[in-house]
Amino acid sequence: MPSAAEPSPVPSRGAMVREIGRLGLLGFGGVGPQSYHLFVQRTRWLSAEEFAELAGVGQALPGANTVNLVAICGDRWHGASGAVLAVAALVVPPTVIALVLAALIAPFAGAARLIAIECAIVASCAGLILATALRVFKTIVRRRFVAFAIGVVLAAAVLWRSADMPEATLVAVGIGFACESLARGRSA
Amino acid sequence: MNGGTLLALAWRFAALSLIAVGGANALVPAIHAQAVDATHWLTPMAFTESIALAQAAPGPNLLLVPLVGWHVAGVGGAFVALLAFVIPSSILAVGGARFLLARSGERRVDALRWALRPVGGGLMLSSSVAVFASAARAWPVPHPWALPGLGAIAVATTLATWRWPVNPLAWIAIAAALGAVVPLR
Repeated sequence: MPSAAEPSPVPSRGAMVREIGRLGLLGFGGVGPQSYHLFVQRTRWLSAEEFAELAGVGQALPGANTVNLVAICGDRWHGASGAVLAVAALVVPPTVIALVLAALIAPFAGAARLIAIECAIVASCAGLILATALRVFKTIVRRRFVAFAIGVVLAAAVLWRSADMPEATLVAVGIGFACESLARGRSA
Repeated sequence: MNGGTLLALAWRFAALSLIAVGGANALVPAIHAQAVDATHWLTPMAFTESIALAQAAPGPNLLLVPLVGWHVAGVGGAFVALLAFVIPSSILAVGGARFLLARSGERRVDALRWALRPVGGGLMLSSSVAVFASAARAWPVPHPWALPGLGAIAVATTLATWRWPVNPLAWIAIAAALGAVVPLR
């Protein structure tokens, strides 16, 4: 067992693929919470601080959060080929399972009872995503009100004209960057 | 399935991947706009089904992407959509991590990191509304209590997730059970 002071061990490619593959299959409704358990507690490949920093970058950049995280980790441990292996290990097995499930339920598509179950699941997902969004705003420490205002206006704009989401996203990043740069410039 | 369709799938999902600040769950309105409104690749019903399956199956949140690809062009379409969605954003993540971590503490870099968070949160807010609307529209039999009932499931899930951070599958399973027993007439 490495102590906290020692640098984290670098896993072999095989161990990395095996553990990240497991991670992909264990998680339901997203694998974010399980990734902390895997990297920090189970394998100790990352310290809690390293995890917070890498996961924060993965969440800030576009793309699926956990895919970004394992790409960054794979690159850190084994370079570009490590990133490819890590991402493939995470996404390919669940995709195969989801496609098998889709093919299995396809004959029942349109049955009222199945649709009712699906609608209830989807309504529950809407609630889950809302909770995640609120948590994001809760973790913004500085200028939270400005952040919330930017987020709500962006959400309204995207719902109003969803085809223009790329432009709206870029404008919102620009406004946030300008606000934060100005605020920092004044306080510095 | 033909080459043009696969190319269109790859192009549209690669573009989406680069604006998915906040993860795949933030993208639901944009995927709906592309796959249902603009191209008519999926019916609204098939889209709702895909969201339900993506959430109920094990794995990362991005499973909606290969499921849309599967509806458009079978297994080949699923993997084309998946790769198109994963490759550009992963390259950006690896490059971005090298860049941002090396320059942590610089004013512009920290301002950019700050700016990306409310954008992710805002996109998730809009997704939450879009996902709910897709459930409300797809409900199989008209009933005055359908909309309030689905709303209650959504709000209860938000509150429960906020209060008890257990595996979200628990709330999804409860919702599925409610959907299985509620009278349909």
